[in-house]
Amino acid sequence: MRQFLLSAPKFMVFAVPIAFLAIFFFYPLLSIFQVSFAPGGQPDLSGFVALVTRPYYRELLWFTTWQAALSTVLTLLAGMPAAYAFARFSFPGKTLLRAVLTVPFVMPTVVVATAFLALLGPRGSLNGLLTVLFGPDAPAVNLQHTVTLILLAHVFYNIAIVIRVVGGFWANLDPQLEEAAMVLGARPRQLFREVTLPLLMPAIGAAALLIFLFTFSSFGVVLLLGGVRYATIEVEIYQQAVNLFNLPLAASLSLVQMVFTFLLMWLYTGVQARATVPLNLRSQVAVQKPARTARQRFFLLAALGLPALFVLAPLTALVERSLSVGGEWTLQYYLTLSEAQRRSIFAVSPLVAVRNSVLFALATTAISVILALLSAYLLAPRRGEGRRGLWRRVLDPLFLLPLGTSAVTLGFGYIVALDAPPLNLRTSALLVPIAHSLIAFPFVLRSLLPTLRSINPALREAAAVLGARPLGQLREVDLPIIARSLLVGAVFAFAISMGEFGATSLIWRPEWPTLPIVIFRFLGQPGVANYGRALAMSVILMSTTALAFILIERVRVDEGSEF
Amino acid sequence: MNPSAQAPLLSAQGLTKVYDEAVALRSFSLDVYDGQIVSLLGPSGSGKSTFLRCVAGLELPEQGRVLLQGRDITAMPAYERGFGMMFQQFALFPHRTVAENVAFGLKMQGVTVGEQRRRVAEMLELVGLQGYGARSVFELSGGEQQRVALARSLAPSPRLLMLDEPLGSLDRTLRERLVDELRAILTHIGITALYVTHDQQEAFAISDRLVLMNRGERVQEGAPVEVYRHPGSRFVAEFFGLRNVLPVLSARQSLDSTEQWLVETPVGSLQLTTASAPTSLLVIRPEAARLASDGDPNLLVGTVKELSFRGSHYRLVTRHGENTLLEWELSTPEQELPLVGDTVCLSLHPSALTFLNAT
Repeated sequence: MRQFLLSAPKFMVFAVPIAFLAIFFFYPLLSIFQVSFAPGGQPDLSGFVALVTRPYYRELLWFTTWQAALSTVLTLLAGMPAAYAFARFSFPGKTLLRAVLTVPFVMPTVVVATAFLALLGPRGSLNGLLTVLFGPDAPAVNLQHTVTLILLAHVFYNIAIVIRVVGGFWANLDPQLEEAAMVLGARPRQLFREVTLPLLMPAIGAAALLIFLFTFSSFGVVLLLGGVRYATIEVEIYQQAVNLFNLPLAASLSLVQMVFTFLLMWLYTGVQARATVPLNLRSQVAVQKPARTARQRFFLLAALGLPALFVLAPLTALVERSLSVGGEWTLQYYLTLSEAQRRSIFAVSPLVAVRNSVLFALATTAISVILALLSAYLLAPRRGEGRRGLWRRVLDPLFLLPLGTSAVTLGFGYIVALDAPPLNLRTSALLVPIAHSLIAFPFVLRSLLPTLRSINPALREAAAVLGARPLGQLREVDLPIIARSLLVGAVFAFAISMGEFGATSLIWRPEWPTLPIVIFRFLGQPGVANYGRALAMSVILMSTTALAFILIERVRVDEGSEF
Repeated sequence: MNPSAQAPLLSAQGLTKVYDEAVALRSFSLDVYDGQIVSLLGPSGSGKSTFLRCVAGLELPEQGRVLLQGRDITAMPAYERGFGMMFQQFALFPHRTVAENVAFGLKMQGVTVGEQRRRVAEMLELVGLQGYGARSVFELSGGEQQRVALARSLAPSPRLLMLDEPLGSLDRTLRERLVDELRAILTHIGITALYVTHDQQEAFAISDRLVLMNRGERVQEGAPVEVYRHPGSRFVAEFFGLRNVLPVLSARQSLDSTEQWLVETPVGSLQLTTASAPTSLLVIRPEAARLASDGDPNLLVGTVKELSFRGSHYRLVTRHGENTLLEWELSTPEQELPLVGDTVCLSLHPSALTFLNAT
């Protein structure tokens, strides 16, 4: 009988992640659906009826879809040359440039939106430059509340995915295949069409699906840049839930979006599985060569310089705008942050938000790292445990589910489910890091799993034969090997929490504002001073996340992680 | 067949290629004549693959020219050269079937679909893979993949076929079988071929002419048998695994023949038959020895240090004097074998000994 009883550590491994998901993911989601579709036990499908009957919602779904598709295509077009340059060339400053181009991916949506406004909005740097060049009558550029600005921000946001996913795959592609085609008479254009492109398709497909997924559920960018004219489903959920308090409709929208994203996730894992065709992957260093001809140098300059400019321009504009008042350089916006605001919308000084965000981020990091470690051991197969394969096949995608769930829906679910006994966390400061952990945890897990799965069981056996007890094996064998991917995952969790806006926008408390919330609030207030403070806060948030990610780039074990 | 009477098909003149400060090819020249199979043999890093890549148009040499029938093609892109190439890992296109792989070069030439189909069938028959056309390349064994790679490179009827360690990723037994097959196919269609390998057995079996390379330079060139029997330098002898090298104390020509020499060495006086002039070193091939019977010439006495059974032969190590060890491959003999520690008398075949340049 003994073998049917689980030892305490094994029980922890099983119970903690599953219980966490059950309480903080499935329970809130089910609560929403219960509240929305069967309030007081009576079925109410008015939300769905509205979705089907009113043309506004058909247009909403159509807009959400086409802007996501167009964003995906534009991002791919913008990122492919850079992906190629990273894959096939070596050049000075490569690591730094890769880090710079990755920074947007982890930038908080609120910061990105603010940065684009700072560059291309009515008070933006571009207009400032035009005025300097052509005088006060210069034609003004104002892209605020246009689709163009939304698309630009989406490209900015996701270009790193193309460079990472496609570029990483491309870098490991055996150049002999292309050489074989060349010797067989394939001209450069034929070579790309007949050999390179088909081989890259799995990576391109995976990148496209990820980008589509992210832009389909885009929230902060569209909320801030789209104005009243443009909304994605995610933004509409927020409007219905927070401003109009039409819960059945919000829940119906959530359900539609979840079904859609889960379908895409399923497609994504399918594509990922196909991406593992047995190719002879080569080490990158052997493949990469410096640019030799003038044409190659020109290509590198264009393929890397333009994206770098595109990424740096809004961020630079953000810093520049935050430091200038009426054409003068000043720290005024930063200095007024610390002053307690009279008639402020917050109960506390905005600078406290910095402290809050950092504390929440640290708590999120701790929670999601512990969860991810436990689940990783639950998911990673060990020798002689083949009979639990079915368990793993069910649990693996289950742990991915939060990735495909809209953050706004999750926050919305917390309001509905966790504000009454048995679980009343509505006023608890813990609610924010718990929500953030659910969003960050799949990323940490994905970063950890490949490394953990790659540990040769013979190493643990060798340690055991040499006298290491189970905990000793963990400390001496596993920990040193997974340390790097664990760190990468931890920094990811930190950055995600720092910038999380969707869920936080619903569950934040006036006593505990976070940076993105304060920025959003400032942007919504009239007056140049509030706008300037929003910029200053964005710069602070950007610097914190950028710093975290420069750390990541130094320790990154690029090939192991799926992100 | 007298190659010197005709102009070379391919002529490489003074090729120099530098990678990140390291010189891969040093002013390397080679002429390849129509219908010849020329092997480039050498240790890894000797520049043989770099030479092949310069000929293929995959690398641009810093100096020197590549001429095809007298025309300078040094800067011509690979896709215009009309050569064929087989890669070490075969480089089969994983997203295409066997037939699509073989048809690739024809498709690039704009050959009609019907003609492509006819030629693919012909090629698959040539390499013994009839009916494999619709298969995925993943379903194939290593040997079958190698045949598809060969069929693919031959399908567009290249003027020159280059083979870069084409059997390198296969196991030994398969390699030995395929190398004969490969030579049969290449000579059957009469193609000119450049064959790069680090494996001497492969090079011996496949080539009409062998070029031995080291550090980007040609070390020795000739027919395989000649190069093996008369290694020109210590490097060549060691590359072929010939470790029985002895200093020559004095050499005296025989009265009977100009090719017979009597040589004094630290292990005694030995006879050898060679056309080359005497030098300060002597190499003895391991297969030279047999256990001596009464009346055998060219005797060598030593103590047995090691003896191990290797199937077709025994490996024998003998000690001579204080510090000379010699290795032998002794054809498994009928008579009784000596034991370790025994004194043994070996008879050496005079033609298995030759002079060696000290460099």
